[in-house]
Amino acid sequence: MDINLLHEVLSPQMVVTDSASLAGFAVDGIVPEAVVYPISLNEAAEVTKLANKENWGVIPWGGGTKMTLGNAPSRFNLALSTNRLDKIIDIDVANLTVTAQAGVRLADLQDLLGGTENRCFFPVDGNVRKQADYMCSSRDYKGVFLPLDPPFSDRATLGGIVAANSTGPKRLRYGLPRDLILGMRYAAPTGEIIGMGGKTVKNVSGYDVSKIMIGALGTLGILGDLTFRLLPLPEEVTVVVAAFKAFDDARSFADRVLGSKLLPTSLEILNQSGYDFTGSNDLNAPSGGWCVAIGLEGFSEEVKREISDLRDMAKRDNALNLVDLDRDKATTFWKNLADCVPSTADSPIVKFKGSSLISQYAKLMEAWTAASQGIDCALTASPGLGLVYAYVIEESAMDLENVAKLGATFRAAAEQYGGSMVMECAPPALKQKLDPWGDPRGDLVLMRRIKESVDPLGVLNPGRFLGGL
Amino acid sequence: MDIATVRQRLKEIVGDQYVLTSDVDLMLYGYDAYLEMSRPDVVVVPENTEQVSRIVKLAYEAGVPVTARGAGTSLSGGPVPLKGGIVIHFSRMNRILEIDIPNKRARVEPGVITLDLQTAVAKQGLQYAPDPASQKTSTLGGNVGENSGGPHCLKYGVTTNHIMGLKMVLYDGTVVDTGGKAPDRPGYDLTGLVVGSEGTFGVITEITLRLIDQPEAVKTLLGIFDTIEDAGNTVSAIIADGIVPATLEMMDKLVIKAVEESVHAGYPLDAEAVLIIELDGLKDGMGRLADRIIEICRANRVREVKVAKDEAERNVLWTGRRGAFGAVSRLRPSYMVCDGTVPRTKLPEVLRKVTEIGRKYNLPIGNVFHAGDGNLHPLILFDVRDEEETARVKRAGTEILRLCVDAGGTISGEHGIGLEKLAEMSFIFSRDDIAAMWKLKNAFDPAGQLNPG
Repeated sequence: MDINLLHEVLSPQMVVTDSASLAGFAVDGIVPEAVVYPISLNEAAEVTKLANKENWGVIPWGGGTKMTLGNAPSRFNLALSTNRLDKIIDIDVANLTVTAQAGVRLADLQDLLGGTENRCFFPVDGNVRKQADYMCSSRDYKGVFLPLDPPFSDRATLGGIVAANSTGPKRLRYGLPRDLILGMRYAAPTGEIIGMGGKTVKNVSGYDVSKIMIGALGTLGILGDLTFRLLPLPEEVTVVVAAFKAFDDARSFADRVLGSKLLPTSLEILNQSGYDFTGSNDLNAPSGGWCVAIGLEGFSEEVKREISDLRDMAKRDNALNLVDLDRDKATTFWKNLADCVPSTADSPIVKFKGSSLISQYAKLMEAWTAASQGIDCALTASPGLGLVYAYVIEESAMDLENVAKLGATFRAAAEQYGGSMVMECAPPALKQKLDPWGDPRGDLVLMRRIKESVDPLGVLNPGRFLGGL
Repeated sequence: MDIATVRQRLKEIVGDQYVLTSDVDLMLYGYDAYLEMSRPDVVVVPENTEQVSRIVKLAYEAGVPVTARGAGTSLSGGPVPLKGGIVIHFSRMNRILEIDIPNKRARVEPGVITLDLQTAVAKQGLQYAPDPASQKTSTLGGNVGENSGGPHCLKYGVTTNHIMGLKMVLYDGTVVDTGGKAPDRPGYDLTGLVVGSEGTFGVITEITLRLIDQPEAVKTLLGIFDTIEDAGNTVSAIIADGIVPATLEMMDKLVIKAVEESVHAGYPLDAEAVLIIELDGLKDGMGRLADRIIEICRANRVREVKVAKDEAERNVLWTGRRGAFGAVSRLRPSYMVCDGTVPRTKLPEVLRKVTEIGRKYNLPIGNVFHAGDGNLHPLILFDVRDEEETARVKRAGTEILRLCVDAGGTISGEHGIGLEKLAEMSFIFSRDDIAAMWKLKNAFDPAGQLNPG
């Protein structure tokens, strides 16, 4: 790879090639030859154009929190960091939209949106950072937020979150990035800049190309500017946590809540180790027992009524005890749970994500529990969505043969119950034994044709997605 | 393969009585609610996916274009078979295959009428959220093709947010499944891409959709305003106050008058605008929210706010909105609906300019629309037999779309691009953007035979 070609499109300090820096950009043990930091989408497009000409393998890099996901890259010449694409372009509180560049960290954006002070930001094309260049939105509005709660929200970037279509338990109420994106601009693998959608909630002009970019793991383009819809900050925020001795009681409680008219923001069933992740000591949880955590957000009357109903329901399902935590504690509770797994490849933790039909989640949990006897595993599930997360956390259990077998059993169960299983976090050696994505279906043909049509040489994130897309 | 052979082979696939070739039939299947008309060579009415697959494969071998068609309620020319060929009509594929209560999903064939599904799931305490105003006649297949909206999208999102999976026949007759009942199948979001593609990626033969719980309580308010600006400002002020209602719908004077004459919904005839505001969710706190909304309306000089006391009163308020297009069509022989969308804070300004455009072209324009989404529906009234007037209508329509784009919006909120807005695509898309769409089209339909034009 000829580094000088990069110097023609980027300023020299934005092309990094020293080995100490490069080591931090290894993906599954493979180290790139250079890391580039484009400062605009135009520059990113220049880089992809060059990569397409020279046939380099390029991996887009946001906060680096999801780099353990997916197959090992089939080739990897260049890491493209979105670190300098960090500008907030437009916060329109009256229209409940925000437009920001892909490298903006969710936590930083959230702080800005939720604050009651003036929301000031630099206009996108301004290189001069002085007070007079700030643009400020009106103070007349209450705080707003982007309703996403992905893992590592203080490091995860908007681009990474969208590329992985990633969020957390609050998905139950607020949906996925897929449901919140109104528009985007991105650099195609062949170097064009493409714009789709806009600032309006409804927009059906042309093909909904954004949809295919969301969750494509950066295999179809480098995300640039992203426009999301926002929501007003809820008046009241709390989490209700109830402890149960038996799984059947916890399950019955969860089903009762989901079958009621209540509108929880999130609802998770956690086993003992899962609850330990939250770092919360407010609940007197029994060893070997189960917790159900229910996030509530809304107007104060709603939340008050929901807490009261939940207390009654919990009693009927033999809850041992129940607490409701204030806004600060609730925030910490969910954040600790979301950030429970170290995101580096050398961590000994393996994370599996199983999906099933909503009505079959308990069977999927039981399948895991039966197969993992004797190994310390954390188990968290979102019954309202049909998702079950299993974590192998005990280092001594890291006999890869066993973990691969456990994963295969979990995958078979997920498929039996109508879903699928993805290994979200695993050491490279485990990926050799168990495909991170599982077997593709008949629609892979279409996905291949799309990839070939959009990225004919396969320069973006080569080989890492489903079926080696 | 000549057309007579194609017709003969189609008869072998679906049976004689389901292949329509008479002049009357061909004319009937050649238009929608937009202005263009064209005539297919043959209309075929299949019964299942397997027949559709064989029809599409035949068309591929014969090099004949294929256009899928639901109820023909489209307002943009999407289902018009511009290049003739085969029209596949889904009137026999109208079965609700499954309502899966424990998993909150339904599987339907594309010919199911939207309202029929809603009625069927409502009995079980569930709802399918998208509620296009044409729900009495439009089909789910059509809704998926155009990614339709409706009043409830303000809170619940458009069709695409509720579609979990599709069964689809590709250009060569191959059948594929995308998505499914369970969440998060790994791979590209083909379902999301196909929704709203107006039948150009494949022929959809089965739809898996998401059902949600009915809300515990609903409260409907009607605000009556003396100026359209006040109504528009109220819309922005409600959202700015941290309230996202389930719907925020607006109608102007011309529409109010038409509605009152046809369905008597109790709207005052001398009002310049009415706003239908609906809250849903838990009953607790809803009274306070309603009071707060009334306060905001008053701050914006509302003349009167009516609160529906019961389901019957609520239905009366909604009858007016749902019947608006029909009522307006009694005023002149024809109407054209524009579908531009603008950021909602721009509404008052854009509405004023729409009125000016109406004056400039000497055309009556009524406004009935999803104000909360900023999705305008100016209705231009005219007589299609008057060629000169029709030409003016098209020019006025283009100018309105231009206006929406200039205000930071787009040219179609929910009805689709179809034929109506092909030329205006260049308002919002660059050549590279359109090339990117063609790359996707080629991946799905390399021969260019699905809903061409």
